[in-house]
Amino acid sequence: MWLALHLPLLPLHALGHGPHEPRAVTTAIGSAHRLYCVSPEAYARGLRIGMATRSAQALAPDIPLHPRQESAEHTALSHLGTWGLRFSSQVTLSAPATLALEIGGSLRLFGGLAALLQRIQSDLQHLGHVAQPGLAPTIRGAELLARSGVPCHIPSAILSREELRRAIDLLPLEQLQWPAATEQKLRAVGLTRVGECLRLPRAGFSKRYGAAHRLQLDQITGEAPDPRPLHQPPPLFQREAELFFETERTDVLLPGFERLFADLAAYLYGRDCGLTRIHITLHHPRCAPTQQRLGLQKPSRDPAHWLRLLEEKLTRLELPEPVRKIAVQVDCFDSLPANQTSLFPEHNRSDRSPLLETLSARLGPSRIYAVDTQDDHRPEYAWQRCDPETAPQARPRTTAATSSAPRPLWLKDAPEPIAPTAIQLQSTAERIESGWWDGRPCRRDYYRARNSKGQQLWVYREFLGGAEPPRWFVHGYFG
Amino acid sequence: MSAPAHSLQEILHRPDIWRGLRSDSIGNRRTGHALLDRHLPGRGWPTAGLIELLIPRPGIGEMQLLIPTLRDCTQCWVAPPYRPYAPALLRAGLSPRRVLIVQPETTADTLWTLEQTVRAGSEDTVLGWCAQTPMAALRRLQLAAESTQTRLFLIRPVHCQQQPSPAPLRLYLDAADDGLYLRILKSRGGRPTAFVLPFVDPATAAAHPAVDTDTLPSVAHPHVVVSPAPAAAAAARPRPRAA
Repeated sequence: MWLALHLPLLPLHALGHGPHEPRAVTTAIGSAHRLYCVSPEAYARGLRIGMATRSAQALAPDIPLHPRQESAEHTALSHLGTWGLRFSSQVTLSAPATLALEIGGSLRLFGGLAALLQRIQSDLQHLGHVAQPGLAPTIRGAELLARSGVPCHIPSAILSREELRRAIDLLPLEQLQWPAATEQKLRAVGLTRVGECLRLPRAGFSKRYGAAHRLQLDQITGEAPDPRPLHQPPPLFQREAELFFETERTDVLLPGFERLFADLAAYLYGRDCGLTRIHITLHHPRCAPTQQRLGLQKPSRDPAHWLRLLEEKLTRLELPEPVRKIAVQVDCFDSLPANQTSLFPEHNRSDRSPLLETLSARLGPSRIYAVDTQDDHRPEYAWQRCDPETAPQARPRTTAATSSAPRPLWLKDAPEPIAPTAIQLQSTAERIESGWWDGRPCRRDYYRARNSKGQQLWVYREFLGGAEPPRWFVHGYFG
Repeated sequence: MSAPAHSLQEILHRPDIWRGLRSDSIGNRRTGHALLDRHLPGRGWPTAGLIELLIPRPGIGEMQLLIPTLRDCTQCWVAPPYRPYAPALLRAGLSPRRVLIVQPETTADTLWTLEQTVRAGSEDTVLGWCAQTPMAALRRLQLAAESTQTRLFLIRPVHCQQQPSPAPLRLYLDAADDGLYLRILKSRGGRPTAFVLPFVDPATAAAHPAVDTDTLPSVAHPHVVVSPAPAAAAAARPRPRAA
């Protein structure tokens, strides 16, 4: 069972306009410029497809007309094809603005035809598309029904070839989108409907009007096979959006990114994967583009979360010039980890990676860290910075945990000289003598001490050798 | 003249009625110090919310007070005054890699970080060092901590004592000769009091867990007796003197 989706407003969408603006797209047919796509609001003002550009301008001078961009339409359609992969593994695109999904195998997964259709429609609406659905046992049949705008009701869904034949019987000939010359020839003998063509003798029809057209009719009814290349998602995601105005305010850019991120999420759903890095580019009229990178701790496909991170980044960004165009690129994809809930409720705190991402977006990754031990006797080398763990995990206690020598909770980055009279020693010495081999030797006696303010210090006496008296330093605090 | 008849429930719903012990705001997370547990309502830290610790200077033993609480929970330390030392964390029974340390540059960033950390709900305990905290920010932190069931310890200098605070629990700490002088400045459902908490050697404290405080009498008692139920009446009897 094939579901075809015809997108009458794709030319407008490809130019970055929503479906609810009074706009129209023009194209050159021969030497004349004619309207190619008209938004519903422009239609209400009297604009029609095929109308000459001059008449449209005379009729409604305030409605903006844009020249058609076929490559952008193609990209948008291909992108939508990738989105369709989340509903079916078989997606075919047919230019200019129709895609077809094989949904017979997906009905059970999505809870029936009605639920699936509703889901597809709401998804398309979210992406800013307006689609006419068509449901038929053949690809061409579904496409024909979608293009002609036959309402697709569930109780009367066309599921068999006989039903399909009945449904297309009265459709006007133009819906087949055959060349004008062929259409004229058919009209000349009084044929105006699809059904009438179907009833003509096969051999005679092929001879007079071309075997290709007869084959198309057979493919519509399912009497001839209709092999199509299946849509393959592009290996990397790359989208950009032209702004309709230049701006220096970063908050104005967010709605544009919201749209691109929604597309990106749809792409990820289609490929069933997530991402950990997004490259953002802000293009300026003159200077070199500003590059930004969003880094994530864990593969994700949550556009709202990306937008929050981006907002943090953009608010702190100094722009050299106004922004003209924004672009999003992703070249590296990761599989999404399956969510698992812990058996024990105390470990059911949510994962901390979103927090880490939010913090590092504003503060920078260097300000967020954890510490770990390192095997060295010298106190200043017995620790190292590391990345904080995102999920709790059991780890064996190392031997360092069982050693009884006192260690302070706070370590000073640079030991601070102190007069021995200002402190009161509270423990016996712990001698640490190490590191003579790598040029950073350490010969010290460490003590626990207390100063007059009640602070508990970790102090050491350094032996420099020679005749110099030993010096005292504070190296940390027992918090 | 007849007084309007109010049911007890109606009266209790009035915002100007203060009820000493609210069972939802006090918790059972032991502090790890039996003496402190006895002086806190609920015999432990509140389950969630803001807890303020006022200290004259870092290093007087405030972390020894908190270490038992910090074991076995996810935690974030925001703007610590010095670098946390991994070997010491390990010896205190914490896993260093699980302690998330954030070192913001400015006070504004610190407050923002605290709020984000508390709101994320991924941490059981958040420790923050922040001196200049406006009342509005404190209030926001307190509400956020309650809503995500996070315990937020805010460690602030002593001069902040003058500033009013929405924290349900405020402690003043200072160094004593052989321990930590602890004054409870404010405790929702408890009473202001002061005592010296003797230091326990961290090595032995990790080996022998704190005494079970269930057997010790609680100092806190409810100020409003809701109904003459036997349990409440029993709780309202004069508290036994601590030896």
